[in-house]
Amino acid sequence: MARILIIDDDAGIRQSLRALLERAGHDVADARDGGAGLRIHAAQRADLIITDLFMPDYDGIETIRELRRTDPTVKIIAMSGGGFDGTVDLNADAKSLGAQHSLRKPLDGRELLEAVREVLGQG
Amino acid sequence: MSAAGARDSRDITGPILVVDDQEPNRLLLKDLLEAQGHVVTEARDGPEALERVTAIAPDVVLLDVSMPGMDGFEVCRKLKADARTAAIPVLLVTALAHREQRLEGIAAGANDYLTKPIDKTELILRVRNAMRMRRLHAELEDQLARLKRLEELRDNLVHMIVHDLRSPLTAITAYFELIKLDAGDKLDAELGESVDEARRVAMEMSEMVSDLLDVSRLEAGAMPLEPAEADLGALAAEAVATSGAAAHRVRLDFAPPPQPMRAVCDCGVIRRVIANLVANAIKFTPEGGEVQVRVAADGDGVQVAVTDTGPGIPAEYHEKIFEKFGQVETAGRRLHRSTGLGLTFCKLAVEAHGGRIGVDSAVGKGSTFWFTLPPEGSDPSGGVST
Repeated sequence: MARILIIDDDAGIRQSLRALLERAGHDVADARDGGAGLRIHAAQRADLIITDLFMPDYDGIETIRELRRTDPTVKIIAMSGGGFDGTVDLNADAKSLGAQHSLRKPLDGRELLEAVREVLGQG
Repeated sequence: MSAAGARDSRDITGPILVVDDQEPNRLLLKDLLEAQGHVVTEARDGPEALERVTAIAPDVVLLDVSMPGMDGFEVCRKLKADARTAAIPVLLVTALAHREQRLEGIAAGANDYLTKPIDKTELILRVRNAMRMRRLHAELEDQLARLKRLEELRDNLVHMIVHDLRSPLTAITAYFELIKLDAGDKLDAELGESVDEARRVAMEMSEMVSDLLDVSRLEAGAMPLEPAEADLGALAAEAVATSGAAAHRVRLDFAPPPQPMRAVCDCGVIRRVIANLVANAIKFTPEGGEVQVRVAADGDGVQVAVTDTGPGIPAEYHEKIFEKFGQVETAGRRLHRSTGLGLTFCKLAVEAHGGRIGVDSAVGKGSTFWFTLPPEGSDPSGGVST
């Protein structure tokens, strides 16, 4: 069991991923933007952070950069749908900033669980 | 019905600009045209003509050739060189004897000419023609603008749908996964199958959205490829492993090549291309049929071929099925060969690698979809133009 923090501005995604990861046995928290996510992480450190890349206010790339600065060892999975028209690919940027894994939306629940297992080194 | 269609000659009531350095000439033309109900504005020389054209956007310009300073040819060339004024018909006014002048005028972009001394009937007819030309041009411009707006609207609509589908699809697949995780062994076999099928269909829809996204990206040249040396045999093996052929009661025949088939490509993208071709083949192969996947050297490059025992595709559709939303129809009747965007994605992705893609097929004989990647060392471009 790991502690996982989900950061996404979409409530449906936060709820569904949270429910799935909790059923998979993890302790899950969620935040609606990078700023809130960083505050939660500072208060109670997560082992793994799953963050959206396109968010209003405090976006995912900024979040990853800040996380890497303050907590070099936390595991990160980035997820992105490529912006409004799907043509922006930030997953490579996320990886170069140190995200262990990147996933594209729409996400496949099974794929997510596999990525989580892989990144946490449990499978 | 359309805005452009509603426009007719009555809407073109803009003024006619008469340019001549001789006042009597201007007055003569002005009188004749005003008697026809036209509004007339005058200019005494080239610079004033250009200034007036910009200020009032006349529907026709009557332009004297011989003027001191900037002559009619130069005025005409300037008007035609400027996109804002190029569509305004210019009628050059020349002396009857000066054939060369008229030719030079046409070369300068003039639309028509009038000869001095002015013949009233000729003036009226040629001005009417020029007005008609102006009107047709305006209609075409309106239609073009309308088409561009529609195209933009369509693209925005597609983007909006795709964007709005991503979140619910993510939630749906996550909840299905949760059900399997939580209740997998509590469900009876039939219910378990139903959940699997629901999940599979949600994933299929998810793939369609991904294809749509990728096609947008590839078209915009905004899909960065990460080229690496790869063994296409291994990529094909991975793609085949997740094909779900068994569920469709289709036999999958994949013989890995005896030695590595090396090419430089983006592994993730090319694996999805192969997976797309295999999924497409399975979709159109009847139960008990066979899908064959082969990877082989092709000259210096590598070819991947996926052969099915499906209904085959008429020759006239061999290119069309790779087009966006391309479908195979027979006499207006849609056959079961709606491929969505999977093949469009394959084509754009393979071409972005500098490769080629195609299909060999005949009705009743099955189909072979193939693509080739160039030998390693050739430079895959980051995007494609359409």
